[in-house]
Amino acid sequence: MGSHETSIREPLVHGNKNLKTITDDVVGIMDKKPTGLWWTGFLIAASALTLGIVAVSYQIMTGIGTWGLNKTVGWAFDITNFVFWVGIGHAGTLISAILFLFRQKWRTSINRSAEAMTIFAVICAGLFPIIHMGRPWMAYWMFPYPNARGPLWINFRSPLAWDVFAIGTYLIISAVFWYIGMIPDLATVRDRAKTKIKKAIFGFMSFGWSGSFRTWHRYETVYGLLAGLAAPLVVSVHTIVSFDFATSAIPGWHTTTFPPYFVAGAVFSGFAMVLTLLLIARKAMRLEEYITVKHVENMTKVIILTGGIVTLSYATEFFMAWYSGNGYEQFVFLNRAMGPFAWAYWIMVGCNLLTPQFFWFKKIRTNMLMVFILSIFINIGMWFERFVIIVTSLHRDFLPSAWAMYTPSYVEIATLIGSFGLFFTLFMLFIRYMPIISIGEVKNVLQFKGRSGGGK
Amino acid sequence: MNKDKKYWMNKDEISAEEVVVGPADLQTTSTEWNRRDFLKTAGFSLAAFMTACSKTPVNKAIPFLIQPEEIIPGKAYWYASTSHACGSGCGILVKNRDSRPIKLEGNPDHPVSQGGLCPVCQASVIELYDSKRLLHPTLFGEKVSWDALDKYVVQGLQKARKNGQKIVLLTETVTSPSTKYYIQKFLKKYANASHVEYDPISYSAIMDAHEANYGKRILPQYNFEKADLILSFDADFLGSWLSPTQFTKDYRKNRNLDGKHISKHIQVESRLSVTGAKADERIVKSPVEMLRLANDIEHALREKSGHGIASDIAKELKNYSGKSLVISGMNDPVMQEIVNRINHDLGNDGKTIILKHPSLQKSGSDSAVAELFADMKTGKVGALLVAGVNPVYDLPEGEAFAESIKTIPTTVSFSAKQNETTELCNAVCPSPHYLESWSDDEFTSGTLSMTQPAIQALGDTKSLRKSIAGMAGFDDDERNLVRNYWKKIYTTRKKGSQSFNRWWDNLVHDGFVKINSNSVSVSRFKKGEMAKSLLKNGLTLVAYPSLQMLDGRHAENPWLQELPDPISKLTWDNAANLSPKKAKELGVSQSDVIQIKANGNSVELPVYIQEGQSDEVVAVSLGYGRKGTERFKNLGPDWIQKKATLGEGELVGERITHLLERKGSALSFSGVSVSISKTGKTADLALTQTYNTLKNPENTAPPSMKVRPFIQETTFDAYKKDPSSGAHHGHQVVTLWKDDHPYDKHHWGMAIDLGACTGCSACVISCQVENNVPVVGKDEVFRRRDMAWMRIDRYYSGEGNDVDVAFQPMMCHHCDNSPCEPVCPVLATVHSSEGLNQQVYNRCVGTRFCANNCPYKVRRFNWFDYAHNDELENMVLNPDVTVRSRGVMEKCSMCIQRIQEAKFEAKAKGIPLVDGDIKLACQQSCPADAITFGDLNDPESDISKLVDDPRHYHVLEELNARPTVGYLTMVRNREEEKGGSQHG
Repeated sequence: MGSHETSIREPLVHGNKNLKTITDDVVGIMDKKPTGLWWTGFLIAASALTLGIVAVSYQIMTGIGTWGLNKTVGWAFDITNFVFWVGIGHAGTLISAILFLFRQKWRTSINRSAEAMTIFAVICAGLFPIIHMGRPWMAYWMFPYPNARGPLWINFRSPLAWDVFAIGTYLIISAVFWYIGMIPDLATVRDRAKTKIKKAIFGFMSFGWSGSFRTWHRYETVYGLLAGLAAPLVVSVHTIVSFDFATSAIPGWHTTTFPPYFVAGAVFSGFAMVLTLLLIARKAMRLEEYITVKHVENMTKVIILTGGIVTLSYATEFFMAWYSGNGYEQFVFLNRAMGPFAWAYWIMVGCNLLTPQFFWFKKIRTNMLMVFILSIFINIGMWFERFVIIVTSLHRDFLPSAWAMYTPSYVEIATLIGSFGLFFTLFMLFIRYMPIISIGEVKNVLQFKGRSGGGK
Repeated sequence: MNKDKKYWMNKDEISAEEVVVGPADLQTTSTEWNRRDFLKTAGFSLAAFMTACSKTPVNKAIPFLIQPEEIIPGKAYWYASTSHACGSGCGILVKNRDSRPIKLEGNPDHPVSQGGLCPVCQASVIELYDSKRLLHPTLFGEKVSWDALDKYVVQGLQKARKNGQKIVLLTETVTSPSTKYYIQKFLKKYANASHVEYDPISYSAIMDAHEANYGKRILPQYNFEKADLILSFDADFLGSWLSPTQFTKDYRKNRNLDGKHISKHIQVESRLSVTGAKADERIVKSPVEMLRLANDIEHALREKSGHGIASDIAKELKNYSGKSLVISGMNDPVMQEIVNRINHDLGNDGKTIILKHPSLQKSGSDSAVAELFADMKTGKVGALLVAGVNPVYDLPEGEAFAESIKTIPTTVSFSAKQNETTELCNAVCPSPHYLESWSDDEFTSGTLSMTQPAIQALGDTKSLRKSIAGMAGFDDDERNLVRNYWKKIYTTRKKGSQSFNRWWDNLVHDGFVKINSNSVSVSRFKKGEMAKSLLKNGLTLVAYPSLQMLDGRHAENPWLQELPDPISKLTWDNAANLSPKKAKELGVSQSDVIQIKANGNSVELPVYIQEGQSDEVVAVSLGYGRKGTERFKNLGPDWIQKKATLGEGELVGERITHLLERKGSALSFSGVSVSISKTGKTADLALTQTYNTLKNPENTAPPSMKVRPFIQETTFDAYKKDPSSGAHHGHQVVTLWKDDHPYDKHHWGMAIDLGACTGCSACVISCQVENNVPVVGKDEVFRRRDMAWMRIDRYYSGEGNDVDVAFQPMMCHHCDNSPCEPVCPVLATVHSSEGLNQQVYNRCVGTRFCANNCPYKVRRFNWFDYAHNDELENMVLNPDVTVRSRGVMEKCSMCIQRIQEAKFEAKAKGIPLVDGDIKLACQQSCPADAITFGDLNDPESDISKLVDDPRHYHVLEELNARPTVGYLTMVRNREEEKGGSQHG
């Protein structure tokens, strides 16, 4: 791929990098001892993961009653977490697939970690539909396969069955896409490996990559095809997740605006999470020259856009409730804003509507600490968005006799913490043991004085 | 189904033995053997030896050692019997499976139950399998043989006789003629003995008033069927007063909308009862105001003058002379005499009030027990025999009673369960559960009800009858004691000319027989002296028997503890009910614990804010704080955030009888002055419903829907003009889709008449028993995880004290377009070809999406492995219904097991299923006949007719879920302007 950048443009990579230094910088991380910051992050994440494992084991042994759910509110933290994590994943796919197809060069330094984030987020997401079941040991019944029970098939009409396909497809494609993209870099690691074992492992993992022109050619074809395959998933996965609610009969869920609303929200939250992660990785792995302020700025701009769509969705929901003339629908929205869970609603509004507005200011956009803090606010806001949708719609639906409140149990909170633990543990291991930046692609966008285009 | 029930009949019954009357010789047994007895005993002994079984040979209840021909394994068989759960004497049919009773249903032919059955009696079946029941006789806490115990008692009695001390037999109302006979014999044998009866929930004042007015201490029978105007002063006759099932059945008969008129019901009360909730007009008065009102009405009736409510009511009463009924539930002789005078003036005697054939359901006397207590304190009592009552708990002077019981040399308790009094008695004689007993009872003059064992006695128990008969010198087995008595006297009381054996067989088969009543001739009405009432002004206590707990005799029953109070929806507790205004005045809010002081005693109770209650009363239900309930301490699933149902040393609720006081001759349950102080503590109230109206909350109510339209209500006048009055018009459901689910054979449906439903919750317990619904404990209920498949939603409307109540039974609506079905990923909930929504427990993985998507929120989830640990208690499980494991969803199945059974039976006989063959558990038990079930495909079925009724509507019809459960508009007999079409 040729690069035709004008020299007026700010370079995508700083620090006068050449081909060697890029390889040294990225692969060097894997050779060097980890920083103290990495250790701190890893230990915190691993502790959270341990807490989560204990909580989930206890819950599976004792019963789902160890969560704060009741006969009226049948879902709360579980599906909130599920939707939240699925949403997080979307930014990764958007960066790696859609921005690739649109030839957005700036993506190259962040796409690897964004994709990794996608996979880890989908792993976290995928856990919740399993552990939220009353009988998780029967979870395999969700898959359609010929069986000795009749054969008894799944209910293809159920949005939960669609979820199985959506999440399954998403996980597989994302993983393959991520891995294929990593092969040239794995080969680089192999070539630099000093120990036999490392060489053997990375040799196996890089599938015998030779770096020949033909290999590169095929690689790029496959990568392009996979990007094409992954691109619709950015839209489809969260659309299907939104069907869990949109196809139901419950006011507040039964809404046709959900698919675009959810997709926008997913990208919104995903970019916030990418920012959170990369700002950590940037600092911990000293990658300031690769993940530049420009990258961060670009992502904040995406956040302004998707945040706007999310805001519009909130407004649309209220408008539609009023316009529909449906009393139950109107009640649900008034109840969200002024009912017993109003605090959650206003956290959501505060975080998701107000936070992105700060990014209009360049001063804030370029202040990494501010961006980091604001990105966390968006993460919180988007988690609460799902919580508000799920819990406030259920807790007061049709019959007032069944109205109930919901309070999370310790086990539920520990499970939420555990899911973050899993996510960050995986991410910490990733930035330590895998090429965190796509070496091949970054080299591609490198600018050489007096020359246009980049070498391999 | 009833047509084909096989009633059990003992084969040995036809033998004609002589009544054996002989001296009391408890040491010897007959040594004469005939060949049959020898073989029987030899065979049994061998079996007993080989199986190491310790049961003594019994020749009545036959185990499967010899399988009776008519008993088919897997098929239920039915015994006709009589309930002794509350003392109103409902005839029951006992469903037996594999030799164990598993369900009780009202005997449709019996004049008291008329097919219905109250929740207390339904639930009483589990007490049979109570592993903490008294199963062996004990003496000073040691397990002894009956012989040793009897010897001790007889010696004690003889000693008392020798010392010239009194022997007192203290019982609840004895309704069995044979028991009364043996008691008479006993009293004759011990000249210094006396029999004292009292009822924990006392009706003494009614009888005392009748003694004053008519010269006879009787409790009349009330005929609600003939009463066109009912004026009730605090009598909760549809809930807990005297004979609620019978009264509900009779009340309902006069409220059929097909006639020209329906009865009018005015309820004057201080607290909100289910009866008040049902009333056409409800007047809230404190007890003392109530008395004044009754007095004013009496004067207005006489003087034809006056003004205000009293004269309005008097005018109406006048219009219904001879067709009205005035009653009062207050145990206050002054009030009761006023009521008697009003009834007499209106000419209701002999019409709606039957004095000639009185009710014998209650005959206890408050003054008699007060006298006994005085005797006990002065040491005049040498032997005390307590049966069926628990004076240490029941009586206001319980503590003092307990002290003086310890000074009596010989104390004997006859009780099925350990209680406060039993603990203090030297000798404890375990009584059998009524499902293991023989008994004959005349609860109402002219009807003899039979109680027969439906299971071989589980313990080494003896009835009061047998013990007393033994002491009086009659030694025979339980059955013969009853049978021989009737053999002797049946000629004087039987109707018709049957032989005794025939008569007895019919009695055992039918469960009751009409006999000649010993009619009572009352003297001419005497006005009586106008005593001054001792009721107090100001804030007073109203102690009421709650519908589920009554006087506390069933406090160990987990089903009843977890049954939500029909009004407050509170489980596992009693609370201090205060009106919103009074609570504000006192500065307390719901769940705050307050201290109530009266008569030098105090009790701490959580506050429950009760709408529609007098501002001058604090209402607390009786029956809580019973010893024995500490067993529920750890009930419910065990997990880290579990809150134990009870704290260390705590009991369920608080006893309040020690706050009561005797006023004159009667024990007063209301009008006791109390003072209230805050404690600063709070308590969790395990409520099954926390939002109480159909009005949306003020701040979140959309302008287009202030009130949710789930209850349709109209007045009788409006209904006569337009049968569809009260209906919420507007939603016309149209569909583009063709009906792709034709129901070729059956299409089951249900309709519930909101006008009939009294909220009594009989259906809730019936469903629980039938469908093996687990008990989950207080903490789980508090977390809103109660498992009842059927709940009764209760909504208030109106302002201030003028509150209207609507009950709406709610269970799975078996929607034809079920929202739950498409969302299940594993097809665990599917639609049947007969229109039922079915839950496949085996397939369920527990995603709970179905429950979320249910607009009626009727699905229940097994959050934990809910306890089925008590092996003895598990005997009550219905083998036709799966016990659900943890992690699966469940809900009302429309008693599919009953539908299938009836279908198979019809198929086996080769005849079509007839409308009415299938009765669901809830429907069968309903004393108000509010529930109709049947085949919507059959145009002649009752349900099809109801669906076409203009009153019929569906809740949330606009969702197009097409529910097959519908409701009928509630009709109240009141002025039109008061009952709007909108409930709210």
